[in-house]
Amino acid sequence: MAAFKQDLFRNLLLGLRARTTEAACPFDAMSLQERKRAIKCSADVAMAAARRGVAGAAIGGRARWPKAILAAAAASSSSHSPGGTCKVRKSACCKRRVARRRVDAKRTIRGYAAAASCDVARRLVRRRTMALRKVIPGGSAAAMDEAALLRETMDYVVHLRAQVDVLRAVSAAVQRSTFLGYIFVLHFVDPMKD
Amino acid sequence: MDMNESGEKGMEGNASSGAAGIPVEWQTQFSAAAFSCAPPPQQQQQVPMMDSAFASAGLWASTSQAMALSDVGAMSAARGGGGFLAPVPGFLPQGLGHFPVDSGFIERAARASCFGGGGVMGATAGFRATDHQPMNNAFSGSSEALLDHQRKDGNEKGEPELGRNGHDGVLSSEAAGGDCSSKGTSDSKKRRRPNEVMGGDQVQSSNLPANSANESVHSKDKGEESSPATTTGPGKSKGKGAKETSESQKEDYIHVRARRGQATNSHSLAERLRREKISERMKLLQDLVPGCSKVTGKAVMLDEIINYVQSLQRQVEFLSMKLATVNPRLDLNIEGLLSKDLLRFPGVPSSSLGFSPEMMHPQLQLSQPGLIQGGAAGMANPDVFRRIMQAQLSAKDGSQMSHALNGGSFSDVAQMAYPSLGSQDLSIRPSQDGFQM
Repeated sequence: MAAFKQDLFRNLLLGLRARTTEAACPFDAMSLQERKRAIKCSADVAMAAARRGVAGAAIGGRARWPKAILAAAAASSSSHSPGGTCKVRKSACCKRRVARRRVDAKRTIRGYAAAASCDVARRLVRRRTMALRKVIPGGSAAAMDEAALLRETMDYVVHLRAQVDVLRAVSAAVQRSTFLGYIFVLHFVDPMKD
Repeated sequence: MDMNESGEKGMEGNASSGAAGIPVEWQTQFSAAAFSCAPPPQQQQQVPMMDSAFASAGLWASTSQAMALSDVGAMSAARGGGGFLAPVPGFLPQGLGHFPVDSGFIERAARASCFGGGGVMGATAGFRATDHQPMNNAFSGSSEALLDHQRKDGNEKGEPELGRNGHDGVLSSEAAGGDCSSKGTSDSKKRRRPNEVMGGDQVQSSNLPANSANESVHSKDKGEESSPATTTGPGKSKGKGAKETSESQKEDYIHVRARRGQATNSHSLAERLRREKISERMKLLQDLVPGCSKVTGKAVMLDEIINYVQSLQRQVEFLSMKLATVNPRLDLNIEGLLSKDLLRFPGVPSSSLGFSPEMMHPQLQLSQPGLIQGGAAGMANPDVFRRIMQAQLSAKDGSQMSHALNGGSFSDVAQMAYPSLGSQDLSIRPSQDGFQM
């Protein structure tokens, strides 16, 4: 897992560097939202790339979600509307997913009396499986059976957790270094001189 | 998570440092060692010794799979036993219930459940005749190449241990599968859990004959078929203690079901195998997702999983927002980050620690804007990464991807992902003093 984190971190640095050098708009003009989106996309691409590099020979040679993430990144960058598509698509998916889950809950409550409990359970399981497919990248694309979907989920959860750890460490380090940099500047630039 | 890292440090101190970054070599080592496992006869005397040896190995709850297997591969080469590879991915210390696990854990647990049934399947003669072939055909495609070799070993080993826990199987079936809360992460418990689930199904079938009978039939089918299907080298020696209970329990299930006149043919067994696989993975996910040890049932568990994944994704968004706030220029102060990074990579010698920050200063000033000075290990990964990317992607995507893959490193992926990149030099070069990352 440490190797994966190393690769993720390295790829994240490379990706951010690439993004800043190739960005159409200069950094200062990028809004906070755009920067956040850039970082998040870079982190996802870095995670997918590191997943293939480190564990490509492991059971994760079968993992689909890295391909899905990279394909989505390629598609979004080729369409190239920097603020728009990713966010819009994601928020629409989120809304649709939330709405569908609420509707499903109501439907199951209404139909509870008529159906047997196991049928209700089966329906719930099926709906939640579909919802899980949408959350996991690449889940809705392929015709995966439940076992494969669960394996993908396990793999994705593990690496997502690592990504969160890396991002947390990076943000803490950057915060600390910025703070130390300020202290450094304040120390050496003595306003009292001259 | 801290304990994980300390465990990883312990293991990394033992393992060869170069092995971590080279999964291809590890893979060949693993397959070679596993193939050497297949022909030798039962190593029943060796297995308890290996288990105890691993018990003394100390904490290593979630070492990365490459780390563990490379370490074991070296040790197996030294011992010449070959079977040593087996218990490594499968063994889990008793008290470490809630550590994050990696893909090795997934593999382990899949093998754990599957291997136990393989012995049972071998035991009953009628099953062996009819079910080996369909299971071979059905599952050899999906499972790895090693599995078939190890399954035969597992079948042969399973027979002598069948008679031992006959009454255990009956008792667990009476237990009505209510023991999910007491589960730990040991293999024996893992294997007992699917058996308890099957026992629970068995009890339920008598109560609700209409639908649950089908379910219990299906679940028992899967319980038996999952074992030969996904059994691998680790399964052979890893679950020696746990294997006995599950095999005898599963054999009892077959007898019980045959007695009750329920179907034991290949279709329902295939169905049961599939269900057993799914339930096994649900158990693993239950370990992964924190706070789900008391949750029973697929629907609630799936809900928890979905919530957890969404919360992790939201955390990523939040952290990226935080990074964007802290860092107005997106360039990420390299020096500070690398010095922080040293905490994550425990194999760094202290001399280079003193060296590198000073070396960074002149190099950062002189280097072109695209260069990052990193460790030697950094170069190994891009090569492997490029090879794997080429193997997997070049066939599918068009000219752009293959063109990108023919270059070096992440820069090509970056060119694919960030198309207007230009000719920036995005490599990580190793520094001369061997700054290990």
